[in-house]
Amino acid sequence: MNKIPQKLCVLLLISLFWGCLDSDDVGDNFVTFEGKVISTYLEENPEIFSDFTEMLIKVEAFELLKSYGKYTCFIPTNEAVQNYYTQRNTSLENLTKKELKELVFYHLIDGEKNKSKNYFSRDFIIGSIDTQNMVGRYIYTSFEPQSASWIVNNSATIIQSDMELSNGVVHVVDKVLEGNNDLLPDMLKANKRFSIFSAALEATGLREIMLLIDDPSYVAPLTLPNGSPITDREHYPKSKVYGFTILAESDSIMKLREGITDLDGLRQFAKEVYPDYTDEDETSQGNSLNRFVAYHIIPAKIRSNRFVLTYGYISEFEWFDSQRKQEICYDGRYTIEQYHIPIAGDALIHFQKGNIINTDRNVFMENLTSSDEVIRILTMESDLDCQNGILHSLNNMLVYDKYVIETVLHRRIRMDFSTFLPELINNDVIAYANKYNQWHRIIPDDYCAKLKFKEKRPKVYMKYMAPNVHPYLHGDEIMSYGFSDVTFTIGPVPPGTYEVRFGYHSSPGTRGITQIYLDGVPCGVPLDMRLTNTAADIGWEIDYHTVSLMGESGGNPDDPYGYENDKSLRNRNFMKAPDSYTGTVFYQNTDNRLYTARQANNDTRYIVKRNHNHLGGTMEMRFVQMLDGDCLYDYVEFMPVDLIEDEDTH
Amino acid sequence: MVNIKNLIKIALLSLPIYCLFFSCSDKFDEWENHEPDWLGENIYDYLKSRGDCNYYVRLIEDCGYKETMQRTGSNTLFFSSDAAFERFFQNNASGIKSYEEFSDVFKNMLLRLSMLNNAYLIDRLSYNEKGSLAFRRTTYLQPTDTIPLVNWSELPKNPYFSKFSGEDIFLLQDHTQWTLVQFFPSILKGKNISDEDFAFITGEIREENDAFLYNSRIIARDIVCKNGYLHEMDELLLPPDNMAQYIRKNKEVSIFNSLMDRFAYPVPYSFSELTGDTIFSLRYFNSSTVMPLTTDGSGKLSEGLLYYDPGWNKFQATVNSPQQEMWETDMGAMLVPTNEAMQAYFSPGGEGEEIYNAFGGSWDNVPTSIVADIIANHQRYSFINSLPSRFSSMKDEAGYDITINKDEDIKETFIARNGLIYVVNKVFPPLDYRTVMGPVKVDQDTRIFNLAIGDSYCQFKYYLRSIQNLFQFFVTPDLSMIDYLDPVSLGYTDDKKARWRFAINESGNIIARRYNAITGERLTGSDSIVTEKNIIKNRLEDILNQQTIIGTINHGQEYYITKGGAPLRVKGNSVGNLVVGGGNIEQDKELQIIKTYENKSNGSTYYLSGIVESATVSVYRTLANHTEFSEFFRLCNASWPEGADMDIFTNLTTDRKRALDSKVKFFDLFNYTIYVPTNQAIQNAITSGIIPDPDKISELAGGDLEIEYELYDKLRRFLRYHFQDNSVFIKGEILNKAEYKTATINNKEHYDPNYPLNKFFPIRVTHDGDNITLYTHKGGTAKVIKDNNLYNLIARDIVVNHSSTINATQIETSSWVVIHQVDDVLLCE
Repeated sequence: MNKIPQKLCVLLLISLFWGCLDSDDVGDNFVTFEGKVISTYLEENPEIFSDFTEMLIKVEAFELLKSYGKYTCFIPTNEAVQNYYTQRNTSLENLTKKELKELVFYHLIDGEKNKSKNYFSRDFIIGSIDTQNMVGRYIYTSFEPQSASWIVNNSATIIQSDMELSNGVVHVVDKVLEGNNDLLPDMLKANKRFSIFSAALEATGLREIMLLIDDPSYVAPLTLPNGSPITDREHYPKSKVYGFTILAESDSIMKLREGITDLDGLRQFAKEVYPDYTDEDETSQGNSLNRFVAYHIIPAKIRSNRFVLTYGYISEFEWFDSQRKQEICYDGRYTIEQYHIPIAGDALIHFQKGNIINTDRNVFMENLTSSDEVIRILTMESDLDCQNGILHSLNNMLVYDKYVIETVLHRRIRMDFSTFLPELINNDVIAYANKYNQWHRIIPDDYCAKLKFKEKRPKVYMKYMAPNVHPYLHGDEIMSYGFSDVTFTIGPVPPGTYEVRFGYHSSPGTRGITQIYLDGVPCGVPLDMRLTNTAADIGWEIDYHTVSLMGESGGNPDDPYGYENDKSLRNRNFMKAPDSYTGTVFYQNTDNRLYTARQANNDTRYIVKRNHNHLGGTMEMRFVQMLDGDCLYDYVEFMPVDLIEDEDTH
Repeated sequence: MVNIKNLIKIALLSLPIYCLFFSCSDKFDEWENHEPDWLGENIYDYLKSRGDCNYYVRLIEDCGYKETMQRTGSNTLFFSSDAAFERFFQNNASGIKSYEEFSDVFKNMLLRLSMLNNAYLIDRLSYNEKGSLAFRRTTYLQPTDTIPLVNWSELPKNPYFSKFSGEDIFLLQDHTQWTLVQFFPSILKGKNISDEDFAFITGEIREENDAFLYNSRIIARDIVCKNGYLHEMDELLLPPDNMAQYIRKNKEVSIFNSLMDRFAYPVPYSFSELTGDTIFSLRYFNSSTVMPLTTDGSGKLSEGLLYYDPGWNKFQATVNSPQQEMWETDMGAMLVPTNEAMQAYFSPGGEGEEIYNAFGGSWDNVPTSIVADIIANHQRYSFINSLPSRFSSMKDEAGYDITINKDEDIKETFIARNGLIYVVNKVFPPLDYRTVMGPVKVDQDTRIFNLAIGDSYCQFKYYLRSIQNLFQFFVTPDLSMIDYLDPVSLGYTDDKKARWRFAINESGNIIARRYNAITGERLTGSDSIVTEKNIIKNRLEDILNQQTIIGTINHGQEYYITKGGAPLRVKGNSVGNLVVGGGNIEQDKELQIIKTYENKSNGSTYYLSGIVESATVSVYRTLANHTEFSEFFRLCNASWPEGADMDIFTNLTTDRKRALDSKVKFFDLFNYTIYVPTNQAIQNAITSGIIPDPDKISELAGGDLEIEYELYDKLRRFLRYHFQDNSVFIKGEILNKAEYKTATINNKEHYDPNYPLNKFFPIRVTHDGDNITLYTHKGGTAKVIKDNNLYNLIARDIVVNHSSTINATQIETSSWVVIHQVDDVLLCE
């Protein structure tokens, strides 16, 4: 009862403070103070911030907030700090400097150092903030509709947001934020709502693999492969940490959906859904419980807003022409989807936008509600973050059954090459924003389990490049340079006969000629990636329909949508790139707001093999340079051959 | 005062650089710990006071550096004790027995090689001034400090040096600075050089913090004097030879050396005013990006180029970065086969048997271009990437895997001042020679093809290198590269229609002489010859594409689709067997296989008696020329209302290309089949109302234009169903209801609601070796008729690169088509 008046008091004080400063009101919710830095703001309001200010001073961080920068700060009120001390029976004096540092820096995001920005509430989404805080952890935000306020890490409420100062922005929170430093299995165990899943994790021995934190043998090289110095823009991953995601059903969900009340109940359920997994040893991959649990674990730490990357999809760009959007996105085929590879060897998890899992329904077209019988991540119990992983709660039982294998995954499976490289996700090699000019990361050899090549300085090396203006799947790219010999372990995909395709971007000046192998067998003659799409050997034509919508000439009026050209390209083992995504290059440079990757002259799908009989599991795709040059790896496609006849252009 | 100044100077010089790399204060502590020692002696006094460095002290005195080492500078010196000198006197290749036998030049070399300007600790020496690892480092020694006067008998044996016969010449063992090769702990770690690698290449076992220059151990490091740092070597620091010198001196590899000598060239470097002699620099013809040498003094192009100059002291593989001169980062490496290995290779039954046989068993007869390929293939740009721990992933510079076993294949190692030498007991021939390209590269009568597949022309070698693919490569020797009917010239006026005779001109480029296609007389003026590379390349690509089959020659199969898509008829793969393209058939030219090279690593090579020429007659002309096709042809050319047409043929003209003749509108760069029903079958279809007669459509529509269009559309869709993607032949590939796309699209739902929208209707084809049967989408069947010889008719629609065919110079695209007469119409809906 006492807390409410105190909170109100704080709000009142903040509001008073807001009102009395000379400011430019630039919006509904935030105010600009000219020249004032964060430290001054905190100092001037000791009645609200003195406790946290003391902490900042003690760890010598206060000076930081006096200097130029772009700091996003979640500052707990004095009440919040005192509550923290009380709950932990501690005080400022009792905390060690190390503990205090961890605590204080957890509240600060350094935008300047991370080439990002100040994060205002308008930038918040349900999920994580793009940039890590100063202890290298992500901060998660969610929206509480009843109070219309943002919640941080599912615990603290932002009671005043968007205090813009000359070196950053302050959000006032009613609770001290803490990072959970447990290992993922321990965090799961501590959460009593997941006791059955936790018990299954222990019974199967799968908790053991999630006790890893980092690989101490990895040492980042001192110079770049080409002899250039390490820069902020371009460097090796600084470390090699492990990360895991658990998708788990809570005890209550297990009971609600399948009447499961204990581990034995789950064992029985697993036997029913995985009848072929008969090994009695629960630590064996051939055991049904092991299979059930392993299908819930992804060896990458994936935040809830990163399961389905939407960057580049035409439906997500406001600038993209609305008529074309209507034509392409609403034909019942268009969807925004992504795949994740769990530790259950041969299995795959399909996600659609909105974190809807393993359904053959088109989530983009159907406005699914909570009453729909689909599997989804429960927003209010997701992003439970700890030192080496993250936990998301599911609303339903997740299984890799016949329906998933034969119905859900009997589709064109398009996977970005980064899907196969969880190490890049865990070590922040993969960037999500449009950071092309600031974000090149060298991929060391022997860094990723599913990528084999030998770095040979100064010519042969590989690189990840952040999303950029080009129409690439998810906007990003992986490159190799020089006389490289690169093998990706791709898939897994269910058993079947597939047409296997490779998505790439040509470049006359820099690319090489590449022999592609699938499972050790050469596929066709080497691919000359120097040829742009209009070269006679590819024979791409822009479609008349799109060009005429722009009021320009071009394309073949007898083949307005380019279907004949599609057939002709396939004859030569090529396909146009998909029309489901685009690149900002068409907006920024040419104002071609109707263009998708299908209209791009350098982006192509190459048919690696037409009838690949696949017994299930992964494949090895090898790229051997015949002519010295670089190679861009965007995505692979596995197209069941029986679906080719009716394939869309997305 | 001087001492303190020096102390400060050293500190100031070193401190900022040191700070760049070591933020850890431990390093500073370590440094500071040395301070008390500094107040002792200068370098000279220190060495003198040791009592066991008398030779080195004499060296300093004799070379005039006493003052420098006593009073000035901040220096780094790698010195050796008297014991090391004594060991040298007892055992050295030059036979020097005492200090007194040292020449002044030798003394200078010895001292200046071991002196560095500025004072450096070993840790600091691992980095350059900008903080990057420095694997190699230059010293005081300058190239002109030692200018050897070389006896003519020791000069490389080639015409460039034979002019000095009997003379001794001043010859720098190249003009670039010599470098120390530093195997220091930070460098070994930074470059991933394992202790096992190090032990293998130097023969020295190193402890954790051991530091070496070349393979000489530093036994006492970071000895602090007032004017610099001293590092004591276990042996005399002698400059090792560079790679070229080592190869020249090692009698075990003299065959390799004699071949390498072909590329040696004396480049005038400077003029000695003292003696009046020219000083030369010994260089090797090479194609490196940083310091190439491709022509001699007269501008004549060398007949062959190594990858890089093996005598280049400051060798570097790539251009410098802003942070580093690349010679600091790495050095070269060479695999040098022993004489025994070279003899085994170049012998009957040896791996180089083809070359041996082609050139009468004498290396002297082997052309320099081939020798260059062989020698260069033993050169590697990177020492770091040539260490034993990298052997498993080692590739040669053409991208082929190299198989090398360090225990079995390597006889000896030597760390030269510009690279590492592995003396090996096997030859690593360029693998291009093992592929189907091999015979072309070896034989001297296939120079045109050899050039054509190379970088200057079609770059076909990058395809033919694909070692796990299987190719059948048909080669036309130079003398048979004649009588090629230029397809582009068929769009010219009759007097300019030409046959080409290919040749190589004096500049080493391929040209073509033109002859009137009808009279055979040489064309005149600018029409007489083609020299423009792009035009030559365009026709050579056309030829190479149709002379390459991907896959095997199968028993019973005669027709194959080549790499470019053109059909090729091959009646067997033995000498004397017939090989013809569509153009050869048109011109009644029969080509034979005249030589075969089977069992190349990725297929077989066949020499032919002429050029395989692709068809030049269009589909339109082929149909028009046969009355048996007249009904089908009539329907294809029917006029629609309001000037439209059936959209089967087009006189394609754009601002930059044009078809040589009417072409099938929807055919592109690919191979196709057209099934032409007999005239009777067409008539039957009209009579039975399956298709409308275009002459009667207007009447049938009763004036309703919409109905009229529908009937025309129906007819067009019917006709297009007879045009199939992919060429299938009688005596082609065996097929069992293989499905191919036709040109009729299901773009309206009512056409076939059970078939996907906007997809092309398929046709299924069975070919049992003698007959072709077709299974239509509607469920009917038809057979290819063989009785009238109207099957396997080959046509080609050619598009050239200009809106006016008389101005065209290149083939833009081709559609290759086979036409068969069939006994019934084909229906899809």
